[in-house]
Amino acid sequence: MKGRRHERIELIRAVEGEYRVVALALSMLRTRLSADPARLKPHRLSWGNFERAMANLGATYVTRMFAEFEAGLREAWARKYRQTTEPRAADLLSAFQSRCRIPQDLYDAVEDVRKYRNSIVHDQDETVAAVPVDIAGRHLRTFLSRLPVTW
Amino acid sequence: MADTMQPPKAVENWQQVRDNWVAELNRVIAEAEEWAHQRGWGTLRDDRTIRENEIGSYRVPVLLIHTMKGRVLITPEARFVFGADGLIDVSVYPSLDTLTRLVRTPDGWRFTDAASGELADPWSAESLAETITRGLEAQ
Repeated sequence: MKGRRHERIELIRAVEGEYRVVALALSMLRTRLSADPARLKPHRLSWGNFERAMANLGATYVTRMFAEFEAGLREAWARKYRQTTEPRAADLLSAFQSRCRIPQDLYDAVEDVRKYRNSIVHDQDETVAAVPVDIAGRHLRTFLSRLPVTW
Repeated sequence: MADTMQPPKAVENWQQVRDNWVAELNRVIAEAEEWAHQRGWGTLRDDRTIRENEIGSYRVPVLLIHTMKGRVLITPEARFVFGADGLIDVSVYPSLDTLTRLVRTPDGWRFTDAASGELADPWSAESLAETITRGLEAQ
């Protein structure tokens, strides 16, 4: 079970774990705020800040997970395949799809995550469908699990 | 190798608690290994280091079970968790999709529902085999 692949997959899973904790904490905070809406005031925070935190939580963690995923791909690209190029993320996915025989449906699912990540950090394209954190995590980990054991 | 330095939030008799916990994990992993072999499944052992503020750093066994439908990794996670006296993760390998989590309760080890976290079947050869078979079929 040793190897960079396993370590990289565990890193993504750790981010998913952090998300679950924060989602739970926000849910508990919502209950408290419902009972006492002024609770945020001493911290100079409003209900709007809370709502934004709730609304953006999934997107924040999908972005972090994708960053871990992409870092893993780039590391394997350089170390395992001895590549010195720095392709765009979309091209990197295609390269790994052919090298690691990634099934088309898995590739498409990860492409959806990548597009969603791009819509969050780049152009805020609202036509891109949001991918829930647990679904994104599963696709990213499964894609990585198709890579060589170590690099 | 287990730590001899006092951990930051050491519980009373922390070394004893740690040693008992490691012994319990060895027992559970050995059971899983034996039950897997009884079904004709292959196994592979590894180990990992866990660090907990209450009992320090220690090494535990990790078990990989090979079936015809896929592979499952049984990974001890922590002795100190909310609502239980220990946690073991059971996940698909290598994607690490969690199939279930085992928690240690006053009545022994119990499987939990992966989605809700609710307690499910007690730890047994049959429940382990069913969890693995059902989980891998759903992949």
